[in-house]
Amino acid sequence: MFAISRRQFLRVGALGAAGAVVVACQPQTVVIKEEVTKEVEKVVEKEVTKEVQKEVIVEVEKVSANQAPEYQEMVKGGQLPPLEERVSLEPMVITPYEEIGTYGGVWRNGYLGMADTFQFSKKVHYEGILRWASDNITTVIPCVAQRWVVSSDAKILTAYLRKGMKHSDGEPFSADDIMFWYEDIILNSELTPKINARYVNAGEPVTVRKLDDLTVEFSFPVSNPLFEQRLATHHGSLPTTPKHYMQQFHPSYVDPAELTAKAKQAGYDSWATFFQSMDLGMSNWANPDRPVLDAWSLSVPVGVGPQVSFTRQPYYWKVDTARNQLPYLDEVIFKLHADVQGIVMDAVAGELDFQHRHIDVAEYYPLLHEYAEEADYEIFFLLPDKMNEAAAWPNLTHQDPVKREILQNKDFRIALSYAIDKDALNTTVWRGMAPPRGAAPWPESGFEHKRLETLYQEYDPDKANALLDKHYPNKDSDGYRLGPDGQRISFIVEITASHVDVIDMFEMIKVYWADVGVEITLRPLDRALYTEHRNAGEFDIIGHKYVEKGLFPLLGYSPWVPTGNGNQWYVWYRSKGEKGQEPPEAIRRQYERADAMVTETSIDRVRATFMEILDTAADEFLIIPVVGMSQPFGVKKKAFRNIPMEGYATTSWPDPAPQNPPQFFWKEG
Amino acid sequence: MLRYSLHRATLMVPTLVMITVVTFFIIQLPPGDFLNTYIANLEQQGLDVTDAEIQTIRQRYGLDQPFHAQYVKWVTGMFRGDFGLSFEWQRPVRVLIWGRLALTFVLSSVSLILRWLVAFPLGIHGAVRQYTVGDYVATGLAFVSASIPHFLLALVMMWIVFRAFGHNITGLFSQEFAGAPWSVAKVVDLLKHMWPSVIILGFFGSAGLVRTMRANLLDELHKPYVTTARAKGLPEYRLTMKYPVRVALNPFISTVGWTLPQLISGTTITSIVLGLPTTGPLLLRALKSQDMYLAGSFLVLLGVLTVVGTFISDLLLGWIDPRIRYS
Repeated sequence: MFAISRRQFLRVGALGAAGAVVVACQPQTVVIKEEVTKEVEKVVEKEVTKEVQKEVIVEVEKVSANQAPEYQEMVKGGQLPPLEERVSLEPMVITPYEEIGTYGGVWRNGYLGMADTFQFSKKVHYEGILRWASDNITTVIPCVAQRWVVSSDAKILTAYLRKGMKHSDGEPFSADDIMFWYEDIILNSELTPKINARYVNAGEPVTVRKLDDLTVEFSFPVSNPLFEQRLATHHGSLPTTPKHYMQQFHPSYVDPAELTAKAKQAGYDSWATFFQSMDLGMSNWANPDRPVLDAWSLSVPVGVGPQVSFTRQPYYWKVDTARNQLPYLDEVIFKLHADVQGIVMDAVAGELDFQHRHIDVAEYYPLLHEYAEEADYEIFFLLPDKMNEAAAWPNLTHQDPVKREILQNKDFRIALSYAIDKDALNTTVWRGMAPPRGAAPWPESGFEHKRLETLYQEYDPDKANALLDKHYPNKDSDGYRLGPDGQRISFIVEITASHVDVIDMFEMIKVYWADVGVEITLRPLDRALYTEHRNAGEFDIIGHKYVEKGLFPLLGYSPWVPTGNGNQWYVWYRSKGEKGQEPPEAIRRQYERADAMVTETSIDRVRATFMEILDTAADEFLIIPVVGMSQPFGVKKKAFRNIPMEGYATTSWPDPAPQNPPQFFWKEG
Repeated sequence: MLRYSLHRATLMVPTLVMITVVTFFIIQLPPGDFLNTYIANLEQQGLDVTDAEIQTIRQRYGLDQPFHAQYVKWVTGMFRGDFGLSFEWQRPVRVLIWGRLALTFVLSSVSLILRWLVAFPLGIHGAVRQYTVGDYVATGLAFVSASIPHFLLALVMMWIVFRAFGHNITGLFSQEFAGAPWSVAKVVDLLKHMWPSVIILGFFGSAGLVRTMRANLLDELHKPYVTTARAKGLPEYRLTMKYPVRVALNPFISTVGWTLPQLISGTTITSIVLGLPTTGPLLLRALKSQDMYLAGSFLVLLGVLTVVGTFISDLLLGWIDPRIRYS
C-alpha cells in the first residue's frame, strides 16, 4: 500500500491513541491492546473527539513509568523534574520489535568524515512531523504530530502536535517552533536560496499556518497527493527547529550588527553561515548546545576528536509498551575512519555493533562472513533503493547528428543490451551477488513491472547482430560496423575514475560490443569533470554507477523519464519549445504525465499514471542496465537486540531510523 | 654570524609570500571547486541540490569572486589569525587544525626520537665495524625496512596484532576514552594504542638514516686527521665520537628543517591506514574535496615550517661548523 486514504490514516492515528490507552489501562497484556484498538477505531472513524484525547491524558498521568537509572538518581536528588513532567502527556508508544529492553550500553558505528554525516541523521536525527512505519516503505505513521488530517482535495495537511512535549533542554515544543522553521528559515532567502523540492509542488511552495499552539496547517494552492510521503522522508533538516534557542542567531530577533560581529568573532563570514553551523542537520554537527527532539543529543561534535558522540537526553517523548522512557541505550558513537578498511577491521574485531554503510560491498563479504562466529555478529541483508550496479546511459540528444541518430535508434540500444553477457559480469566483478535485472522498481515499492524487470536481459549475440545488420550491415576491415556517414561506429564511454568496479565491467563490455561490431573507448574522468560533462550533456555514453529509486520511484523518476544528463528534449519541453530539441511524441507524453501526476487529488490516480510511465519506459528502453544490484548487507552483534534482520537501504526511508533505534538494546547473558 | 642570520631572515619574507600565492593557485587548478564535491556527495546520498541553492552557497563562500579577490581575503584574514572557514566541516579552520596538532606533534616527536635512537648507534656501528656480522645484519634490516612501504607494514601489523591479541589497533584511543577529558588513565590508554604507530614510523623509518650515517662516517674515518688523532693515542671511542661523528652529522643538521613539516604531514598514509586522528588524513581529505581554505592553510603552515626549519638548520650549521658561515 503506497499511500493512505483519509480513512486509513485516521486508523493509524487511532493506533497511536490506542497505544496510549492500552498503556493507561493495563500495559502488560497484549490481548487487551487489540480490544482497545478496535474500540478506539470506531470512535475515530466517526471523528476524533477531544473527549477521547483528554481521557487518555488523565489516565497516562496516573501511571508510574520507568526511566534510566541515572535519571532516577537525578530526580531523587532534585536535579531533574519527575518523569511525568518530562515525557509528553501524549507520548508516542513504540512497540519493541522483540521484547522490552533494559537500560545501558553504547551503539558503535563508523563514519568516513564530513561527506558521511548524513548517517547521523539516519541514525539519531529523524524526528519529523511524520515518519515511515518500521516494517515497510509505503505506510506513513505519526511522529512529532500525534495525528494528521489531509483535506479531500489533497491541498491541506493539518498536523496535531503532542501536548506537553519538550526539547532536550526541557523547554516546551510547540507550533511556534515549526513556524520559526517556516517563517525564519524557509522564507529567509539568505538561509534558503531555494525551497527544497519536498516543500514545493508544481512550482508552488508550501504555506504554513499556526492554528493554535498545537496545531499547524500545511497548504498548497494545488493538490499535493505525495506530501505525506515527502514529510516522512528525510532531507537532512527537519521542520522542528527550537525557536527559543536558535532565535539568538537570527537577525529578526537580535540586533543584526551585533549578530554579524558575533559571527565574525566565531570565525564565520556571515550570520547565515553562523546560523547554520549552530543548527543541526545536513553537514552541521558542530553545536552540542542546540536542543533536539531526538533520543540522543550531540555531546562530542565533529572535527575535534576521533569520534562523534550522542548521549541520551532526559526529555525524550517516546515510551515502550511498558511505559519505560526510551531510549534504552546510553550513547551512540561514530568513530572517524579515514578509509573503509578501518570500518571493516572494526567489524571483524567485533567492535562495530550494527551497520551496513560502507562495508556492504561484495568484496568484503567473504571476510565478514569468515569472522561472524568469532566476533559474535550476524550478517543481515537489506533491500536497496538501487536497481542496478551500473548502466550505460546513451546521450539521446547528442550534438553530433550522426551519433545522435545512432543512439536514438532503439534497435541499436536493444542490440547493445543483448550483446552483454551479464552473468559473466556478475560472476567476475560481483562474486555472483548482482544477478541480471532490468531497471524496474522493486515489487515492495508497490510498482512491480515484470516486463521492465526482464527486458532484453538475456545474452544473445545473434539477436544483437541481427538487429544491427538491419541498420548497419557494412563493416570495415577490422570488423567494426559503419554508421550512416560511412565512418566506423565508435563511442567514448565516460566513467568516474574512482568507480573501479564500473570500469572493470566496461572493460569486459568493450569486448562484448566489439564482438557485434561496435567500438567503444573508455575514458575514466575525475568526478568533478565527469559531473560537469554529464550535466552539460557533453558525452557519447556514460557508464554511470547505480540506477536508483527502485523503492521510491515517485520521488525521482529519471531512469524512466529522461530529465537529467543535459537532455535537450527536456530542455525543449521546459522552455516550451524555445530551446533544445523537439522530443518524439512518446517522450513528450512522459513529461506531461510526470507533470500531471504530482497534482492529482488521490494517490491511486498517481499510481495509475506512474504505471503508464513505466510502460512507456519499457517501450522506449532509454538506458542499458549492465547488471543487477548486489544486495547490501551489514553486521549486527548477536547481543544487540530489537533489530529486524531485514530492512531497506535507502535515503528516502532513512534506514535504520524507521526501525526505532531508541528501542535497540543490549541483551545480557 | 649576526649579519648572516639577518640576511637569512629577510629572505624568508618573499619566500613565504610566494608560498601563499603558489599554494592558493595550485589548489584552484583542478576543474570545479568544493561545490562539485558537495553536490556529488549529496547525490550519492540520494539528495538533490538545485541550481539556485548552488549559486547562493557559491556566493556565501565567495567562490564566485575572481582569484585575486579570494586570495586577498584569505591572506589578510591569516594575519588576524583567521584562516577562513572549512567548507566541508563547516567550522573555522583554526579549530580543526589545532584540535589535531598536539597529538600529531606527540606522535611524530616520539617517532622521531626513536628513529634517531635507532639510527645513530646502528649507523656508527656499521661504519666502525664495517663488513662484520653486525654491519651485515643492520644493513640487511635497513634495506628491507626501507623498501617496504609503511602503510603495508601498518596493515600487516594490524593483522598480526588482531590475530594474536584479538583487538583492533586503529585509532589512538579506546572508545571509552576518546571523548573523555585528559587523565592518567587516558594517557596510559594513548600509550597502549600508540606503540604500533611509533614502531612503524620510528623503527622502520630509521632505515635511511642508518645508511646515511654509515656512509658519512665511512668517508670521515679514513681521513688523515683521524689517523693523526689515533697516532697521538686518543682512545678509540672518544676519537670517533668527538671528531668524525660530529662531521658526519652535518647532513642531518642541514635536513633537520625538513623534519618540522614532517611532524605534521609525514605520516599521512600510515595514519589513514591506522585511523590516527592526526593532521595528515585531514589534509589529504581537504585536498581531495577542494576544501580550499583548510587545504591552503595546511599547505601554508607546512611551507612556514619548512622555511623556519631551514632557517634553524642554517643557524645550527653555522654554529656547529665554522666553515659554513664564511662561504
